[in-house]
Amino acid sequence: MSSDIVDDRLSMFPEEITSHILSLMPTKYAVRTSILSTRWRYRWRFVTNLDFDDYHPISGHDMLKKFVNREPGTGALENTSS
Amino acid sequence: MLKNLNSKHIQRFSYKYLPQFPISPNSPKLGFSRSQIANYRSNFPTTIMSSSKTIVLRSSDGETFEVDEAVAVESQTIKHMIEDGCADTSIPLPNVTSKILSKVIEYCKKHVETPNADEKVAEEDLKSFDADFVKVDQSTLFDLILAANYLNIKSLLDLTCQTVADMIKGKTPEEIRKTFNIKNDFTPEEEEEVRRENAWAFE
Repeated sequence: MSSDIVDDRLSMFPEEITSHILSLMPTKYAVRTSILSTRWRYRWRFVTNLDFDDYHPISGHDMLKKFVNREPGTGALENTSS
Repeated sequence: MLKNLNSKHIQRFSYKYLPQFPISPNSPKLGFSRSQIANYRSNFPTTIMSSSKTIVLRSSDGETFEVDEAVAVESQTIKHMIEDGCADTSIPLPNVTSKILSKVIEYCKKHVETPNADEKVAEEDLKSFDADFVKVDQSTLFDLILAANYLNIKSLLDLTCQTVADMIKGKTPEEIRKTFNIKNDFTPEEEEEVRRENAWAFE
C-alpha cells in the first residue's frame, strides 16, 4: 500500500519542533491533536503559550473556563512520553 | 594566508575598524604606522581591501555555495561558527542537502536584501515572497523545517512551522491523519477516553 511507504514524518520531528508548531495555533486545535495517535496524546502539553483567542471574544473566554475546569484524565500526568 | 588568521587577528581587524574603501597609509585615524598597514595589506588583502566577505558553505552531498557573510549569518549556527574561528576554508553542513541549502540561501538573501519593513511596498513584497516560498511539497517543507532548526534561522523556522500549523488547524483528526500519514493506533476505548479528557477542545 502506498500509505505504508510514505513515512509519517510529522510525528518523527523532535520535541522542540512539534511544540513550536503546536504553539503557533489556537490551543483548542493543538489539544485536538491528542486524538491523532498515541504518540500525539500528550504532545500538546509542551506548547509554550496558551491561546484561547477565537474569533469571538466571548467563546474565547468560555474556552478558557472549560480548559481550566477540565476533568483530569486517569493517570494522564504520568504518561507524558511521546 | 587564511590559515594564519586567528581570533586575535579577527578581533584586531574586526569590521567596525575597517573602512569601506582602501585605506591610505597616511590616514592617521586608524592608529597604525605606514609600514604596519603595508604589511597587513600584503598579508590580508581580502580583509582590508574588500568591503564584503564571502563564506563558503558545503552541503551534505558535497556541493559548495559561496555567499556573502551578511547572508550566511542569518543563521545563528553559522554566525557562531564564524565567531569561533571555525570558518577557515568552508563550513560543512552535514545535515543539509544541496537542494534544501540552495532554498535556504535564497530565503536568507531575500530577507537580507529587503530593508526591514520600512516601506509598505517592501513589506508586501517580502510577504508575497514568503507565501510563495512555502508552496512546496510536504517533504521539502519538512526538510526546510529541519534545516531552519539546525541552522537556527528563527524567521524561516517560524514561517515553515506556521505553514504546517495552518495545515493542521481547522482539519478534522481524520483529515490530519490523511494529510500527514499518521496511523491511528488507539483502541476504541482509548480514543473515547481521550475525547472525554479533552472534551472542551472537541466541541
